[in-house]
Amino acid sequence: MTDLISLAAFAPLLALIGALVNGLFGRAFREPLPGVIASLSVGIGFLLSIIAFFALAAGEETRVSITLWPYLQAGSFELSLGFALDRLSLLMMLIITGVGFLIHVYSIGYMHGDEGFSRYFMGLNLFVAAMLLLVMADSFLLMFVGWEGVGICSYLLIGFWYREKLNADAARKAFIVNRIGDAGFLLAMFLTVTTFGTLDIQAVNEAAGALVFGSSVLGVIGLLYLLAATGKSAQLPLQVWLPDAMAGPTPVSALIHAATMVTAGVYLIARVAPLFAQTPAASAAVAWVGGLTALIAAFIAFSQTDIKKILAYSTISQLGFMFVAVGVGAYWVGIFHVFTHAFFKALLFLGAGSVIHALAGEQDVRRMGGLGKHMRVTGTTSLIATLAIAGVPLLSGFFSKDAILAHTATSELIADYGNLVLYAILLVTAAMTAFYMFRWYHRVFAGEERFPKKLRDSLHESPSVMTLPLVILAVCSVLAGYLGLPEFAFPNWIAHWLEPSVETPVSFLHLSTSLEWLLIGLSVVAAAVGLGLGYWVYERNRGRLVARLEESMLARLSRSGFGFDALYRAVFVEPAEGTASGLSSVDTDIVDRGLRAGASPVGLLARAAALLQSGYLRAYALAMLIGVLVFALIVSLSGVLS
Amino acid sequence: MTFPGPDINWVAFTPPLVLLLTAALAVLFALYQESGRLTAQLSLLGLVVAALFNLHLFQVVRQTDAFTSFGLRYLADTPAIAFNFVILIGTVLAVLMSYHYLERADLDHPEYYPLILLSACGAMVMVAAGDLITLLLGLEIMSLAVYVLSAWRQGSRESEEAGMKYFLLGAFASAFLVYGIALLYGASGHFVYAEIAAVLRGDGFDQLLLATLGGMLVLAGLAFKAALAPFHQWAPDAYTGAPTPVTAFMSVVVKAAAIAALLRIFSSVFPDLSPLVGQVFAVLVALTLVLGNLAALFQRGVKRMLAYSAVAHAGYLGLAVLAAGTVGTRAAIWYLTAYTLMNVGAFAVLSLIADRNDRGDDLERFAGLGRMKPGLAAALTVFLLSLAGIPPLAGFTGKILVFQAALQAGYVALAIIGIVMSVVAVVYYFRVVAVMYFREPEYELPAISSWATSMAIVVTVAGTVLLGIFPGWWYGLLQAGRQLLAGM
Amino acid sequence: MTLTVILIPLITALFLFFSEAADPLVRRFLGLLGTVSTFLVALYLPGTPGMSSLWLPGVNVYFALSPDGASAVLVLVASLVMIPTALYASGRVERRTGSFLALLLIMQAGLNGIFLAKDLILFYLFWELTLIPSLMMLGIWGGTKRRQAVQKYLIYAVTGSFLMLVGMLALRPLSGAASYRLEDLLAVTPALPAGTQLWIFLLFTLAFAVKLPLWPLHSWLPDFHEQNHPSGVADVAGTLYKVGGWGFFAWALPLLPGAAAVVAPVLLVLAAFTAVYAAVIATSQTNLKRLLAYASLSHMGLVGVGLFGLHLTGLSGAIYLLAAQMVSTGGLFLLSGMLYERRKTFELSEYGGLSRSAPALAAVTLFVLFTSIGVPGLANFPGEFMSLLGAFHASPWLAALATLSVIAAGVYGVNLYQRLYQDRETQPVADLRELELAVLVPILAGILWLGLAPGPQLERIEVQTRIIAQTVQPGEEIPMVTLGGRP
Repeated sequence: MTDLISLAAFAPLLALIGALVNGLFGRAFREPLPGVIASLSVGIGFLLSIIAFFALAAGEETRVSITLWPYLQAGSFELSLGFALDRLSLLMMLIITGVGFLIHVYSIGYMHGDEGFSRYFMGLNLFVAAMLLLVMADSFLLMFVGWEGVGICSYLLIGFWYREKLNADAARKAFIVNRIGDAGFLLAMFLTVTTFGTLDIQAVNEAAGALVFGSSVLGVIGLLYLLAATGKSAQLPLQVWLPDAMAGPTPVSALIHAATMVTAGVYLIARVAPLFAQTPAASAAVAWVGGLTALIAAFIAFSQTDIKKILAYSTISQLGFMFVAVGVGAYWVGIFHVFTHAFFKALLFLGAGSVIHALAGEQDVRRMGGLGKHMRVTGTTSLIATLAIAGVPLLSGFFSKDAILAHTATSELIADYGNLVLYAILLVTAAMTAFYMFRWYHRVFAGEERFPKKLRDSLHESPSVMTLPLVILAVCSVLAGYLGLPEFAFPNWIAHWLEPSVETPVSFLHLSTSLEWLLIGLSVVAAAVGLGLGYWVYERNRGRLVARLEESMLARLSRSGFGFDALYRAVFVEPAEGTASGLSSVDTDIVDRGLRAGASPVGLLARAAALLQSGYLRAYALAMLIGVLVFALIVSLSGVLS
Repeated sequence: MTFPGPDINWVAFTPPLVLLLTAALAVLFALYQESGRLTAQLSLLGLVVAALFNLHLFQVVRQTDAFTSFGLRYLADTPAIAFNFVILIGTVLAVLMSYHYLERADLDHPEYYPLILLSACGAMVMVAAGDLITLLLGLEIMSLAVYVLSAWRQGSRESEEAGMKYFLLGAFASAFLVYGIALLYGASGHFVYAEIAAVLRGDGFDQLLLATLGGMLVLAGLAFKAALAPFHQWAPDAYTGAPTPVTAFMSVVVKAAAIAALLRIFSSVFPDLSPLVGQVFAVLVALTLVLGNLAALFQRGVKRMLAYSAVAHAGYLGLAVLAAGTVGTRAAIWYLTAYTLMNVGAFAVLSLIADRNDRGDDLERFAGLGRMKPGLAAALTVFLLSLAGIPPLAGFTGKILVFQAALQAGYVALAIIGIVMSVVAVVYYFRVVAVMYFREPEYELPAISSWATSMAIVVTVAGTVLLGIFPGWWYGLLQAGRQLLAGM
Repeated sequence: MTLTVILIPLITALFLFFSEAADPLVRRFLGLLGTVSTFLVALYLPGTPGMSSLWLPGVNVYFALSPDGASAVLVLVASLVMIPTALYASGRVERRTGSFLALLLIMQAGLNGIFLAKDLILFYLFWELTLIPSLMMLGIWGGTKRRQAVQKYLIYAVTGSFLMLVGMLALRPLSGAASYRLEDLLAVTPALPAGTQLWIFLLFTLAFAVKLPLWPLHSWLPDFHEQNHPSGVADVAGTLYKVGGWGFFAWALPLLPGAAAVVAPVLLVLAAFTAVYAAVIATSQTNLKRLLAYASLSHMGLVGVGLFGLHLTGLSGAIYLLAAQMVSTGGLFLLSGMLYERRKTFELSEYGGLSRSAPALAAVTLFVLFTSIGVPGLANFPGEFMSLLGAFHASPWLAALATLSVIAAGVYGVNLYQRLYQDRETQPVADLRELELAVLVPILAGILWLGLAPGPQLERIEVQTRIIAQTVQPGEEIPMVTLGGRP
């Protein structure tokens, strides 16, 4: 069994090989060969992951360690690179390779004809490899390798069309913001080492469990990991890069900026669940960051007009939900939402990509509408995804989101930190989600056709290489939720599955069945209110209300992304640039000059010394005489004194 | 009443004797010669013979014991004989440099070479002097010849001025020296170092102040010859004005003799005087280091820069003198050996670049030398870097030995002053290197070829490099045998 | 055996000096012969016996070389970098190529000497020996303002090193050591009185801080790099020559532990400040070479951070980072030379969009840039990580400050890439040529080697690290750091 599980260790290697082949020889290949190679390498990885998954399910052990090779050495001991395959990491691997495979296949159609075709697939493969490393790592250090690796791949792919300055800028911004989070990760690791003496994740978890509940050093470690997580998962205050990241090709947005990389923060916190479970303060910080992010991002999503940016803010908002889940101590719930979200959000992005593809690059929803008639598969699947994310009962999003709401309301871990307020926020946000997602669907697929007439005739459904992944994802978006039905009344497979990996002493209030049903009811109401309001505003009211509100302050605030970019520009970017150029001139003008000025007396003295040499014999004789007289004086003085 | 017969140990002064005889022979020879070539060859022969005698002496001294003569008035111990080598090398190189130079500069008179030999002979006497009278004798033999040599370029204002300044100031300094000797004699009743020291150390000696003043005046007289500030001011002018080979000779041989004399006095007489002498000398050294190096910094003429640098090097030698008696003597000999090679080498290169009147040593003329005359430029680079104390050249090892000596003697502050001034020195030495290599040629240089000078350059380059890489050999030789100090 | 890594380059240099008239291929062959054979010897160096013979009696200076521990690692990595450097120089230096290569190899001989010397004065000898080639390379082949740069560099370097010499020479008489050999000094110098240790340590610090360099003694560095030959070859030599960290590691810290414990906290502040200061300045540079100069200065700050934390992990990491940055910074300078050949300028405003016409060049540049900014899995990361971690033990706040440089590094890294290869496309340029590919392959190999398997080299470095850790904190148990792995 262990051997079968270990097979999964080859998944990142396969992706890496795919990337290498495409990177070295890709330019010599003809389309679609690079895409096929890349898809196959991920596809086989998916198969291996499935095998490993079932092997783990069938076997006794819940965790398999694979040591690769020794890495660092300090003091008596060395750190080896190794994988830890457990239930959590295998589930993540399934998501990454599974959804990844579909998106690879989809990309063969989407990137058709692009001059960077092979470069694109190299980047995508490399990303999968790095992401797999991240989730498979048994130590924080190797996880950090993947952590930075996915950041780099994201950078490469956001700036894929690099000749457009905007794209390159977006890529740079994503990288730098991520780098801030990475610095947090580094500091977290340092503190971990100095506290626990190890970077092995399981060892840290065990040691953390043994520490005093609520110890302050744990809190600081937790906050530092939270900083890291906010960077990668685009949470407040580091959320600003994700909307810009939409500059990359749409499948990239689907894979990296919706389904996988951005969930790394959630994964990280779930991975160190025992640590966070010991520190309510840090956990509360996670939850509140998530809650506020969810609310604000949803608010911003109201007014966006770019088909992808709406989805980007929606992603940020949904990630906020996940943060709340892992913040309140419901770690499996967070992963559950990662799981369901991966399907419907990837589907939404791919649907959007299909639309952009059909409209020759158009991304503004104000110039769309009524596309559902022309693109039946895309329209239908997107509808399913929209309903799923909106939290319509019986679809996957409903189950995972409801689980988050329920656990927030009943959390004991952060009971002192206002979990009920958080619950209310999430409930409102859930309604808002349903509303803006309705708007999204309506503006794109329903209502009147606002795109240019000349496009109408060429309008077509995407090729099957693109639609097939849509269909598969749609099926998953419907079914994925049934793996995690409400525990109080139904079998819950995913909670049970993840239990050994995220086991903590965190407990939740035990509610009566009727109260549980009430909570579910509230969730349903929220979704219904959101959707109903959307229907009223956009279908019945035809957007007149919206048009009137267009100039209100709230609308402006929403459009500007809550003013974060402007704020950061004013508070961080410009001062930083100013500091940099200021320091630069300080360096050349003050430090350098200062040191040179320190040497200038030497020059003066030198000129003075040269002047002493007058050339006159009498002066020289005088100098000698003075010298001798001084000698005599010194001797006689010493005589007098003694 | 017994009358002690003269205690003359002829073996002890064979080298200076050979030089004296050669000089006499050469003068006779010169009566029948227009050109100096034959006298030069004769002088070289004499120098080689002297060197052979010296070598023999060295072997004997290393294996058995030092020689003395005239009681303790003439000492041929390891340091003295080693100094003889330095003097001989410096003289040979100066002769080689002069060989074609004199003709080229229209200064060729056969009397030139005997004078050089006489001066070297005087230097050797100074080195071996074990009493104040012998010291004075050697000093005057050496100096009188050099006064003439430095004014050798008749009709040239600079050269005559150089000779005149050197002579007058030299006389002035000699006066101090003589007066100092008188005072020391007056205080102790002896001329011989060992005896003076014995009296000073004896019970009930109450003339310490007088003796100290005498010591100070002797110090001033010797400091003049060694070009230590404030008695150094003649040096830059004399070095600049004299014909280049004479400059090379003066800056090396005269300095070696003066330092040797200082070392011996510092290790025998001075320790028993008031500690003031040492302190005053330390101040002189510091002053020399500072003034010599700083004044060299902005000189445009390379010859003048080297003249100041020669003053500065007297300061470094002074550091070793402070530690005289222990490792200082060996360090000073080693340093002087290296200094002789690199300094004469530098002047030799200069003599092939400057015009026949020794003008045109401006820094600008060296622009692009690395292109035009790669060999000369490389050689000059070696000399300058060695003078600057950059490893692995001889000057570096010399610097280590000298500074080690000073630090061992506890002169930390002085060492730091010396090192800081070395930084200044690196700047002015390296400036010449920079001009040679970093700039394009600007001037047409005279095509001068002289196998004799080239030979001198080759020898000095080889010496500078080899001594730098294998410093242990020469130092090992110096360690053998022993040094005669006060009181035997 | 040990001496050969010094002799081979020296002898090759001698031949190269006289190869000006020969065919360029002869020079290239000679350059490769010298560097490759040195590298091959260096591969077998670890574990071979050293040598020790009396060099200067009287003051007891020994010609003692030994390839133990960290010495062999640095020699090995420097020798690796020298191969592409010499190769590229043979193709890119137009004037007096033979002399240039000869100076480069003398430089290598001196560097190897610095790393291998086990006698304090011998160490100084090699320290100064390397100064001349680097000055000559800058002065003869440098840019229009080279003379000021030479002067500045000369004064900084010489002031520092000469003062250090005083400290060195005082060490033996004051401590009564039998010789200047490391082992003899180590036996007695740690027992010197605190005051003596302090002033000698400060003199050492002056020289090492200039060469490290540490703020504020770094200002020769940007000019030095800006004015060097545009091929970047001399800059690589300059990069290898950042031996101040080594000086602290091999000499100052172990010999004067008492002073180290007092001064290190101050130096730690300076180093952390340097790391951030330089990285921030690098973000605003518009000249490629100056940017790289500041970037490399920032790395040196991190080296200092590792050293002055005086913690086992950081000390090892600092030396590892020193080795790694030879490859990464060296690689970047070589790439700058390749870019200059295409555009004839280092002004970043003249570049843009080159990724399209030169995708391979772009890919390699990005790879090396990522190495340089400390992306894990690549050469710089292990050292950077361990340096910061070590400092974190000493002072979490300063380590956190230094960690900020990671962010700034990200900024200048991607800024640089964007300005060169992205945005509006400028005049197309040629992609990598054969020579350039040959030059870059060893660099890339080195980056992967050092990045993926730092274990063996760290193990070697630690042999020496332990000496410092033991002398600096005698009696205290050496902190055992478990970085993962199951005990």
